[in-house]
Amino acid sequence: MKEDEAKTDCEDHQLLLYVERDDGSYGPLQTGSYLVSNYLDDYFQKRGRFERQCLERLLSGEYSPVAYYQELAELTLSELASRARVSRLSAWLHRKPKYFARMRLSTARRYAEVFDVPVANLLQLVAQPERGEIVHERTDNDGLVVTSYREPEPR
Amino acid sequence: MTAMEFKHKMAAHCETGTIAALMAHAGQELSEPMIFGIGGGIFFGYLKTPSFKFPMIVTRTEPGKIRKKIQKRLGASFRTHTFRKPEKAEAALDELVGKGIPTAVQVDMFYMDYIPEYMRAHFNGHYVVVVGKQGSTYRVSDVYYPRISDLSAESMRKGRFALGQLAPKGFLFYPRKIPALGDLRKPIIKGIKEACFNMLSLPIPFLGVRGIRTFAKKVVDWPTLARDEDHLSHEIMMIHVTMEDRGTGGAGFRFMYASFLQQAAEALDNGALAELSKEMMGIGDRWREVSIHTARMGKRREFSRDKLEELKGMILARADEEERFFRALRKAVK
Repeated sequence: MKEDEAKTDCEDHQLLLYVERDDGSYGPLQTGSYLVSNYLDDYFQKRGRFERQCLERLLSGEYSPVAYYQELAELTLSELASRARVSRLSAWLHRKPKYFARMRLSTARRYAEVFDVPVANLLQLVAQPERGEIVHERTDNDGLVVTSYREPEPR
Repeated sequence: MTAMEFKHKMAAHCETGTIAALMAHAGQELSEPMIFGIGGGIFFGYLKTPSFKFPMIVTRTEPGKIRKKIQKRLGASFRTHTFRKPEKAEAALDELVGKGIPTAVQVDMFYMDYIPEYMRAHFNGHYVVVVGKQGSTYRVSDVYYPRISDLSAESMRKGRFALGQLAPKGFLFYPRKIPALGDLRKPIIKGIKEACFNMLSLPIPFLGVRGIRTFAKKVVDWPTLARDEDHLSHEIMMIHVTMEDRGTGGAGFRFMYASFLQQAAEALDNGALAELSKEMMGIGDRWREVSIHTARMGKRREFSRDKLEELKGMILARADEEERFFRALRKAVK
């Protein structure tokens, strides 16, 4: 690929491509991602629709929170089971609200770690505000987080 | 607080970039393509296992293999450790960083929270170099990121002790002895021969050139595997991500391999390799056409049988080209 053809303007996602320079030598070029530059909006639209579908299933009781976060993280059942140190059968059962409600706290904490969310978020949905953000801050008390609203920074 | 002088440089691929950076820090500069080529890194595989939600392609050998081959072929020695307990792993890392030794660690990319959220996926085979620690924050040199970043000790622990496929188990490595780089001819030839074997001779239908053909034949059936049109669009576009954006240097490592062959031609004074490097650059260009085609298909939701057959034809043509190429490459180093 010629150096000129590889250049993409995308400050947010830089990567390194190996290109052919004018003198015929091959070497690295730091440039932007073609995909992010041209198709990121499409990714966010698809992701948004998928998240809404998962949320509907969660709210209707079809999915347990484990199933909800598993789908969002795009993990297979075997990968989830392995990461959360439970059997495949247990992971399959924990996808159902009925069995999720019987789960031990220690197991829930392992799932929360896999999904990188506070364990409290397996039992509640925190509505995202239109402005600002919700932040979860860990405390010295293991497992306890302080959830607060943070105002957007003034421009 | 611990911090050290470490030259951060972006690289195309995490494993080769990390090895190149550690070697450079030890005073032995070797280019990333050279490490990739000597390590016999180029590959193709079409994988469908219970660990993956959807079939996926790989364009390089398994994580960790390049480092092992570099050790063997260049006589370099890296000290490696895995750990059972996160506390011990953290203490060992802190001790090394405290001594001013840049240390590479294997992590799950999902927990590298300096990376934009849309890029973060569970992948346990990512490598970063830890170059300092301030309080409970590590200074991390990640070759996919333009500058040295901060990562909390907690995220580092989660990343190093994620479970699942390729679980890192706290794996870390750092150079123990990097000998002066002398004559590279033998390692280059070994790397090339290994690449040719992997691409042409592995008797497994989903690996090497056969893997490219399997991929071509299977991709037309992908609509039956997807849950809806959005999902299919996402997975088709993932072909582009795997080929171009996931640390390959473009065209699924084919551009980087062309660069390696150009450097190898000079080191071996072999005109045939110089010609083959140009040919590999051309093959890479046509792989890039495939990946751009998939990105457009995904965006426009063009999944008719004709479109998928067209994609199949393009991929089969790449398989034929690569088969001819690797046969010629094998002859060139005999």
